[in-house]
Amino acid sequence: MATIEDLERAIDQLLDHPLGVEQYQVFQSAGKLYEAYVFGLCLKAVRELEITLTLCGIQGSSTPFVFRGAPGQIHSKTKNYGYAEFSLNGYDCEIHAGIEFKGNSGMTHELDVCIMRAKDAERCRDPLSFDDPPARSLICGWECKFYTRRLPKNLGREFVGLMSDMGGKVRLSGLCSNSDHEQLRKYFSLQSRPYFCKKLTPLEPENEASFIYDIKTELRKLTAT
Amino acid sequence: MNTYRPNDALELLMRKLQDRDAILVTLVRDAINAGKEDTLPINSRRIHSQAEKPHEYRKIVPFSTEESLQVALDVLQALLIEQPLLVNEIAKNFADTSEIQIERHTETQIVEEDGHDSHEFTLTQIPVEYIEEQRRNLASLKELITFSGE
Repeated sequence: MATIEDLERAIDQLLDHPLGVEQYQVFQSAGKLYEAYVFGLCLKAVRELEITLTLCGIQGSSTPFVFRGAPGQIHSKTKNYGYAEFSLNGYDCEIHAGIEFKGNSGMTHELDVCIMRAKDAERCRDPLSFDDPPARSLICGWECKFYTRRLPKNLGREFVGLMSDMGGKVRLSGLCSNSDHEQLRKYFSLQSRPYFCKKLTPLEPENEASFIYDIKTELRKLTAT
Repeated sequence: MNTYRPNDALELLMRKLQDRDAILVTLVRDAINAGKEDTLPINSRRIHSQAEKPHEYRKIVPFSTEESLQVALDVLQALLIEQPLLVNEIAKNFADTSEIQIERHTETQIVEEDGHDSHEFTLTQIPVEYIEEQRRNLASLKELITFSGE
């Protein structure tokens, strides 16, 4: 029979552990941890295609590899913001986190994680032609949300709106989250809408595998011809 | 079987969280207060001459105390176990890089230099045994706050 003292001990054991309250406070300040995780899954997908992938930094070296704490511009050299580049069947691509794209309306939108055409990325980084990459340069794009509770529904509407301004050439897009919402499942179930990558977390390896598989499939299709 | 009631367990858990971190207890409270969606039937009704047809409607309802305890544990799982797992997955996928950082202070923020907080958070791999210990701790706590069937 469990007593209230047993319960109290169990609570203390969880909260006072080295990975308890003190550690969570450290992670909370990181903010973009989940985006970095999804970026890492993209790297894994490319590596599973047995392609050579190179980590880069806008200042030159890839060390340290810096993730932006807020949406930024691809050409910003304030810090050594990192990205990755790879080539598949002659298609040169880059993977980025937290950069802004120019939508078809002219409004800029941040993609938490994206795969884009390297040619456009290079041009936008060139000091003679600094710019935000155009919507046509986006191959895959994801919104990444780490929530401790059920996802708010407005995230779905916002992302659908964002992707509609990115045009019809994006091959793969999705709202990624460790969480879920039954109504968002329905909302994203329509054929024309992005994927809902719900419960995308190391706690659900099948969902990770499915996410990686979708990226590999689209990259193979893109570069097949 | 527990010698305490769900209300006692929830009150104790919230008090422990409050004692340690105001933001954490707010996160848990917000998750509980958000309630859940439920589909409720209403009495079947006649529509003109048609036979009675069932009707259901959607309603946001509060979590029960037992459900609130599970919701609280879901929040703690996300913060205390999932986040460390994210760190290790990132480290694994960035094995080629010796140092990964996440900006704390963005390029547009004005930052007062107080020497206590670095501008970047540097990812450090977390011992797997720590994460496993926490998973066991959470599993033990989950057993103690499960009242179904009592």
